[in-house]
Amino acid sequence: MSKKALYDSLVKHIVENQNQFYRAAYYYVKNREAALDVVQNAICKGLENYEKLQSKEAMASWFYRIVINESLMYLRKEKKYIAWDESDNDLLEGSYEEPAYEPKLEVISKISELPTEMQVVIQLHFFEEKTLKEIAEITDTNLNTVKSRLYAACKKLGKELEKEDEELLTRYGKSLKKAERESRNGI
Amino acid sequence: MEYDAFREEKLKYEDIEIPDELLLMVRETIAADRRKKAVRQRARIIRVVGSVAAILFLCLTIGVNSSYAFAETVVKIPVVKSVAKAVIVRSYKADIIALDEQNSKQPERVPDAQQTPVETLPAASGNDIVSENEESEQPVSQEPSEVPEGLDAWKSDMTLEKFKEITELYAPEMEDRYAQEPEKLRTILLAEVAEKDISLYGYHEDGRITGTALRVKDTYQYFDWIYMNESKKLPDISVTDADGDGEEEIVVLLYNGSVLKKEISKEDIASPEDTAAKDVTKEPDKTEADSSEKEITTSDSAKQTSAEGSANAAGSVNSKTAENAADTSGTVKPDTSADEKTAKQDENTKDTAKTTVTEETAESITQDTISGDNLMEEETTNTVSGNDIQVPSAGEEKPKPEQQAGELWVISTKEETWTAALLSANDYESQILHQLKAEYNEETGSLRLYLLEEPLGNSIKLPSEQKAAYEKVNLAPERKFTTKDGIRLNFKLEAVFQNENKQKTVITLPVNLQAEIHLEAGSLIIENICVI
Repeated sequence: MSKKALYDSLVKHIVENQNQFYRAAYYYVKNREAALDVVQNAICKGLENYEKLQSKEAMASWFYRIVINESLMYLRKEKKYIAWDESDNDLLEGSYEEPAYEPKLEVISKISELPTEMQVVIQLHFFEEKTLKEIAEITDTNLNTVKSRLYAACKKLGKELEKEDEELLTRYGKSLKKAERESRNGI
Repeated sequence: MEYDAFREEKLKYEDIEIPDELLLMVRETIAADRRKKAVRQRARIIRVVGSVAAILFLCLTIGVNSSYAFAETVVKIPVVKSVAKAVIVRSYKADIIALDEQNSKQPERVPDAQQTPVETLPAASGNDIVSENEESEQPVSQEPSEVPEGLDAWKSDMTLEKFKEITELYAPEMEDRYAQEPEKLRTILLAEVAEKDISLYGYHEDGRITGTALRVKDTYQYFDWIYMNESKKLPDISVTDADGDGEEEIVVLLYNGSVLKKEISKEDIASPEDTAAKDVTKEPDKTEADSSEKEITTSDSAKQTSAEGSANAAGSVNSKTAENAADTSGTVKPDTSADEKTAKQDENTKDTAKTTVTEETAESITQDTISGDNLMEEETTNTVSGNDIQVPSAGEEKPKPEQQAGELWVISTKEETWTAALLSANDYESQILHQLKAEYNEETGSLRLYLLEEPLGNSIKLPSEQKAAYEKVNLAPERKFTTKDGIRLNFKLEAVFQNENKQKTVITLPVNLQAEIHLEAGSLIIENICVI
């Protein structure tokens, strides 16, 4: 496949799946402007380095990886900024915080408290419905690593939920257990 | 896979609202990257060709100067010979000259060489092939060596008052009218915007067409532009806000298409007719220097047409693709410097290897070898002549447009030193073709255009081409720049078909397109291509 054709198919892939990339970015950075920035950076990086791409088949996971890496990079930068910021407004922040009544929000917020690599696995597995093998490709890790991360993530999430709310546990516990089982069996 | 508990979360995830800006942002990011790649690709080609030429030249220099055997062998190769002679430092020259004379089939050449004193250039110029042309060739070969000097002298001579005295716009008939007073033609007025008091002058001593001065009210600056070609079409000048900063820039359109470039590098500036004539006379010999010409020119007829100055810039512009596009800015500007170099080189050479060196050949070839840019030019020329054939052979008698704009310069006069940005024909062609894509449907015989993956206009039904395969789309030769509220380029596209015999048919698409040209950070970029 010629370079030009590879470049063109990458452009096509980006244009066709832009919404998916935006959602993934938004999921991590939780901010519209930031998500747009992340997607833009990812496109720039992708088009810049398209020559490193081995084949057209690897393109989807390769570009998705760039989007996720960009998102996480943004979060890392953001964290530094927030940590510095919070020291000033600690009290103020606390008073504004509202108790999360909605159980739906709860899970999302719990997920975002997980270590990032676990967040990625959860997002890809539950929301993007990727198979464990695809997740391994996207995150550029071993299949077994993905399995153990998903398992650990589910366990941790389950524990957190246990502490929080009985009702939630029963609602989510089941599916978490299922995913846990699945990750052991390596589906 | 069904995770009931996560279903809600998943729906929420899928409900993440997609902002409207996303599509636009994605498209613009891709377009920006394409533009960047187009520019980079060109730079790469120039670099590669340049370094290859430099290495070859170096090898030849070392080889010729260090080994007699090598020098002897090299002298037998027609094209390389001239270069070899030009790079000799000291030894072997006697032997090479001797060898050369043995090879020579024309005895007249010997007296020629003897006549040639160290100082004079004329006799050496290509006369070894056709001695009758000697007279007409003389001014020709002198030209390149003097251009820089004359130009520099002119620059130091000119003053604001002198510029302001010139008010008559140049017209070809002035050449006859002032035949007796050549000093009146030394500086000519090329174009002006009277209401803004902006004038563009050209240095025209002995019919030269390189070197301009741009005057805005009481300030002026020199630009080493080639301001026209044989068509003698004068530059266009106008003012518009090209970068959207609220202040106007000066836009200069130079009609210095590739006809001129070719003539300058390969032959001469002043007398294209001679060139054509010479080419014909040379034809039967096919010796020595001529073979270099032959390689470049695929057909003599093509060569002739171009030499006659008929506007085949159109043909060339027409057929160049983004891939093999050479940068005009790269070729035109170094021309003068290359000439200068060659001139010096020639002088050096003459002292050592005085000579049977055919000045003209040595010149054109050394030039090519010295600078990569000039090689690029040769490449361009190659494309030009190659394509010149295609159109007629497809049996298409297209009326060739008068003369296409060769270069577009935008001069920003905000700062004390003015900055000039160049957009050459190759440049905008490659930028446009990088953003456009065409898909040809063989079944329906229709062509669909895409601008950055988005369909552009309706699909176009083309007349069926018998057994000809669709190849690509190019910019049609007809282009027009407008400078009202920013710079715009109106152009058409043409589809190229190729049949089994490699004959090409070109069909101009009945779609008028327009692109905007913006000045951004010192470079001119093509944006917002649309159908009008």
